[in-house]
Order: sequence, then structure tokens, then C-alpha cells
Amino acid sequence: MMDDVLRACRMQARSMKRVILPTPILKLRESGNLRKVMDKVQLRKKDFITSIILIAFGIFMILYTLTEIPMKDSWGGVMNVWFVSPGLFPLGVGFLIIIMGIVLCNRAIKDGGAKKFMEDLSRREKDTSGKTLRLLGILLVIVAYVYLYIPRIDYFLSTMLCLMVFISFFYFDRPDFLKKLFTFYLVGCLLFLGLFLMKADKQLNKSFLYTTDGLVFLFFLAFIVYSRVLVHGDGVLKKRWKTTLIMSIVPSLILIPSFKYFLLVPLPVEGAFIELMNIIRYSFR
Amino acid sequence: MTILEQLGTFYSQVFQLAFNLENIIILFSATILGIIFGAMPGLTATLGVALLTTLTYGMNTGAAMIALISMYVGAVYGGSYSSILLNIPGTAAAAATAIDGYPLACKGEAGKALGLTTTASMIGTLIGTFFLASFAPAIAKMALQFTSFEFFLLAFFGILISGTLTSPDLIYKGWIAGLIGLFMSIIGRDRLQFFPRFTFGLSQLDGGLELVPVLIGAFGIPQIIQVLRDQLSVGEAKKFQRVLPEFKTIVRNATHIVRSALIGVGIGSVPGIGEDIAGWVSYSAAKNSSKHPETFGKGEYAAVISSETANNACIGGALIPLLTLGIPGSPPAAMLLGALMIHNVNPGPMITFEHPTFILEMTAILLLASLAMWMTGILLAKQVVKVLRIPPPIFMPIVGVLCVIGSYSLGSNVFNLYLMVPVGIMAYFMQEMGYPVAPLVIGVILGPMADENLRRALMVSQGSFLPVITRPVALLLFLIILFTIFSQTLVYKRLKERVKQRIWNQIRNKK
Repeated sequence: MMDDVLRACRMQARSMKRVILPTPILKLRESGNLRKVMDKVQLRKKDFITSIILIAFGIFMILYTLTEIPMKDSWGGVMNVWFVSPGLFPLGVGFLIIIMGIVLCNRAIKDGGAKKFMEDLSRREKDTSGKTLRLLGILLVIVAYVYLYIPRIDYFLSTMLCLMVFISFFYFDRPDFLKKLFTFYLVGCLLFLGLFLMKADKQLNKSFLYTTDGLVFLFFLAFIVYSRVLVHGDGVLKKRWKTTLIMSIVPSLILIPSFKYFLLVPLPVEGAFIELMNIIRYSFR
Repeated sequence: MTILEQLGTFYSQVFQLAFNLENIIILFSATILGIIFGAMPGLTATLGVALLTTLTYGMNTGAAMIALISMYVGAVYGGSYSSILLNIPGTAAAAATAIDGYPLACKGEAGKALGLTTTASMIGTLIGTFFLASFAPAIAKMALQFTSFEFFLLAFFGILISGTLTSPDLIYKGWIAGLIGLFMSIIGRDRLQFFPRFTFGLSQLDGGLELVPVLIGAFGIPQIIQVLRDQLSVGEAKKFQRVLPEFKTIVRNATHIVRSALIGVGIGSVPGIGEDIAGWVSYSAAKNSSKHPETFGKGEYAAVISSETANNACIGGALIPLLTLGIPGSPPAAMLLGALMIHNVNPGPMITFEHPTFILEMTAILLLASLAMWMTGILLAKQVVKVLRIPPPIFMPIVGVLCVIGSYSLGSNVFNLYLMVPVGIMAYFMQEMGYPVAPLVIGVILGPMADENLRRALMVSQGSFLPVITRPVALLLFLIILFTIFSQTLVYKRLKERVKQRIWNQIRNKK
């Protein structure tokens, strides 16, 4: 059975991954056991770090439970005994986490993970596959959408911006474009973060209604223009740019009214765009 | 209820559901949506059920269950489309199908292979339905005899076995994931004394972590990140003409079907492990029992039939512990548990008293869903396959937005999103380091059950652990737990080797 599983994994990997590697590295990677051993040591290095975190976390859980949760004292007029205490279960879980952390640490040390960790402390590894940037891109879009825009900006606009950025990051399928678009979006997000931290958005919205929505909309337009400039001169990418634009607007236009008017979900921030939707919707009533 | 009464109730449920236009529309729409979710590489049955849950808040329980179970059945079956046509499993459950399904498609038999998987999936689901109807009430009745000690040990066993069987690297990484899940379940006020634990003064955490955002985060976000980070690309799908039911081939492979269905139901009923393992185990069993194992991997009908029967039979199996004990048998079943709780149905031994016909209703829904899946598969396969042309960089961001709006919709609470994102990112990094996500989720679900029952049990026994030894079921569970842990130690492995060697030596000496 294991052979079948391995074969399926290999087949899947062949058809799914498109990471282009320089030939010498490719040869080295495909040379069977070496790769497995390298991956295992790398994994154990991560396990070593995780085990330390787990042990520290387990200790924190136990200390928190012993200091913050009553084990024997009275709480809410009820006298506690250790076996009904709300601290009993966290104490057990914390204890088990420490034990598992120690077991994992032991394994990581045996398999050379700790040694690898110490070696890599002084050395910096460079990512040649571009995976790190793609990961950062995804995290930036999700984190900015959830923590920066949704609580403050019109939900329709936030969603449209998120989809535009998210799709263009990956659909163009060009690492150089991803880098440029990532930088452009990051700078924009940082500017808005500064604005929100200084609470200038509230002042602006007091002076002129929906000013922050307007600023984010301008940023959305700027992103569209910038991505269009990037794909200039390439027929295939121009087509993709158009698809990206459509796919950022159409799903938002379907999803948001569906949740608001059919499922009756009040949206996080109903700003300029949703107000406009309300006007259109109720003018047809 | 007598068997005749039960049968009467079951058929009346089936007719009630089938002769309601609204239900039929929901049934077929959710099945088609499920097949699309299953067929699209990168989307899973769990994610499909999770996202659809958010659309069922306003529905009544029956309609919501029709939507979710149809989605579940459709998605598990839909995975076979991309396995056969693209050689990329749409879901992990259909990974074993790709080994023989794709070579069949290369030989120009894609239509026949899809016909086989469609009928095999339906038969698998129906056998699972039969087991659900036959065993669930009996298990629920038996579970009424359980006391708090048994429930605590059962919850603990659920987490332990789920960690043991789903871990891709070291077994104890699965246990660690389960423990992290248990920690997450502790956050909030405890349910016996309402004392705030690990809330750090945040009133939003007083009620504990909401299950739906945690599940959407744990299953949705890692999926989005993996697909986009690893640049999953979908090739050109193999062409096919018609999808036919292929009853003759099915009859010829009846033995494989029965064996795979039993494997599927058995694996489904084990907490936390799902359709993917059922598919692999039954594939392996079919290969081992075949007279021509060398044909496996080159386009063998028995292989495709076995894996597809097992993964769909797993659904019925997964619903058995979910409904009778409140322990989900698979990750999508965990999501179903969340949905049931939202609709004020608390699965467990008391379900037969609180909602006497609920298990039969679920069985009826499963039966209808399997028929809807078969009809949709036979009639609409060609149209559904068109969705495979949508590139992942377009549909994954839309899935991301759906995850966000879905999590938010539960109570219209932005805090759910603040919770979903870190859980998702943590689940992604855990997966990258070889930790399974299923035990984490099972830990979050079973944590309150373990905590409350442990303390209740100790309260009754005045702090004594003796009932663990004196009560037979508790003792059995305790011994299984001990064995599961002990089987991972070096001592056990050495002992096993020694015993094996001695037996071999004795056999050789006799010869």
C-alpha cells in the first residue's frame, strides 16, 4: 500500500508543482535518499524550535492555571475541591503539552535537528523558488483585508480591493510582477495603517462623509492602473488583467447583496457603496 | 419504537422530504455545488460543508441538513472527476481513484470510468445509509449506560486515535495537535462554574472560541495558502462522450463493492479519520485480494470501484458516532456537528429522546442525497466538468472571501474574523511541519466534553479514579488508550520484533 501512496504522491507532485529549479539543484534533489535525509533534518530543525515553544507554552499554561484559576478557594459562593476546580483540566493539558514537547525535543536532537538549528543560526538561506514571496503575498492580502479594511471601510469596497489584489498577485503568474504589485500594495496598506492609527480617518469622515472610502477607492483605482501599466504590451497578460478586473467586481456584486438583502446579514461597515446599493434597491420597491 | 414503526417513520420521512419542491431544489443545488467543490482541485468536502453552513443559518434544521449532507455526498464523489480526467485528485478522498482512473481515461474510457465511480459512489453511500439506520439507534441506546468516566475516556480516545491515524510524520505530532485543540477548547468560561479561563480580560472570549470560524480557519485558510503558494496548475481535462451507469461491470465487482463498503463504514466510524484513508485502505485491500494485482495502476475497474465505494460509504459511518456520541467520524462530519449545534440539535445519546426521529430523518436525507448524486452524475457530468477550466488563482481568492463572509455571518461578529485568521495561519504552519489538522479540530470539539465529564465523574466518585478500573466499558477504553500510547514506545516495538522473530524461528524449526 505504501508503494501506491508514494507513487500517487509522486504523480501528484509532478502534475501539480511548477517550480523551476536550476539543473544542478534539480539533479541533486532528485537523487533519492539525499533529498529525504535533507528534508528530514530540515523538518527536525523545525521540530526542535516547536518543541521549545511547546515546553514554554506548557509551563505558561501551568503557571497561569496555578496563579489565576482557583484550585481550592471559594468562587462565586462555591467552595472548590481540587477535582471540581476549573483549573484541573488546563493543568492536565499543560502537563501533557510539556511531556510531548520533551519527547519531540528528544527526537529532534537525536535526528540532528538541534545541530542544524545551531548551524543555521549564523547562516541565512535564500529562497530561490519564490514561495516565500507568494506566502507573504497571501498573508498580506488576508491580514490587510481582515484587520485593516473590514472594520473601517465599506465592505463592498474592501472585498473588491481584496479580490483585485489577490487575483492579480497570482493570475499574472510572473514573479517580477508579484514583487512590484506586492510592494505597491504594501506601501498603500502602510499609509492607511498610519492614517487609522492616528485616528485621522474619523476626523476626515466627520468633515466629509465617506472620505476614507473615497481614499481607498482611489487606491483601488491606482492599483488597477498600475497593474495595467505592468501588463502593457503583452496580449495574454492584458486578457488576464481584464479577467482579474471582472472577477474582482462581479463576485462582490453577487455575494454582498445576497448576504445583505437575502440572508439579511448586517455587513461590518456599510459605507458609500452599500449606501448606493440601498438607494438602488429601495428605489425599485 | 419497533422495527416496523421505524420503517414506517423512515419511509414517511423520505416521502415528506421528496415531495417538497423547496427540499428538492435544495437537494439538487447542494449536490451540484458539492460535485463542483469536489471536482475543483484545492477545494475539499470539509470546506464545502463549512461554507455552505454559513448559508443555512436562516433555514430550518431539515432544509439545512438536506443542503449540508447533499454537499458532503456530492463533494466526496466529485473528487473522482479531476482524478480521472486530470490525474489530480479533487479531494484527498479521491487520491486512490487517480491511480487507475487516469490510465482508463488515457485509454479513451473516461466516460466508462466516471459511470463506474458514479454508480459505485451511490452504492457505497446507500450501504453507509443502511449501517447508519441499523446501528445508530442501538449505539445511542448503549451510550445511555455510559457515565461521565466513559464519556471522558471516549473523548480522550477520540482525540488520541485521530492523532495516531492522521499524522503524516511522527505519531505524537497528531497527539500534540489534539492537545493544542484541547487548549483552544479551554479558552472562555468553564461550563460548570463559569470561571473565565485564558480570556485575558477580553469579554469576546468569555463564551469560548466559536466553532464555525475555527473550523473555517483551520480547513479553509491552509488550503488557500497551499494552492496559491505551490502554484497548483490544472491541465487539460481528458475528453469523454457519455456517462453510463455500467451496471454489468458493477455486478461483476460485487465482492469488491461489499468489502470496500464495509471498510468505508468501519473507517468512517473511527473518530476524526475520513474518506481519504478509507479510499486508500480499500484500494490496497482490492489489490491484495485480486487475482491479477499486476493490472492495478494500469486502469483496473476494480480499483476505481473499490476506492469510490469506500470513500462514499465512509459518510454513513462518520455519521454514526456523530449522531450517537457527539463525536465526529470525519472532518466534514466535524463541520456538520457545528451546523447541528447552530440549529439547536445536540448530537449524543440523548438525541433519541430530544429528537426521536432525527436519526431516521438524517438517514432519509442521506438516501435522497445519494440518489440525487447519482442522477446528477449521470446526467450533468459533462457540464460540471467545465468548471475545471477555472484557474485556481481566480477561484481561490473568491473562496477566501467566502470564508471571511461566512465566518462573519455567524452572529455578525467581526471578532470571529480576528479569530479565524490566526487559527488558519497556525493550521497552515502546523501542516507544513507535519502536524495533522483533524485532531486539532477534534480537540476543540471534544474538549468541553472531556473537561466537564472528567470533573463530573470525579465529583461523583469524590476524587477517586477507581471507577476507571471497576466499570467494564471504562476499563476497556482505558486499556485501549494505554495500548495506543504504549504501542508508540521503543519498548513495545522491540518487544514486537522479538516476538515476531521467535515465532519465525519456531516455524522454521518445525519445518
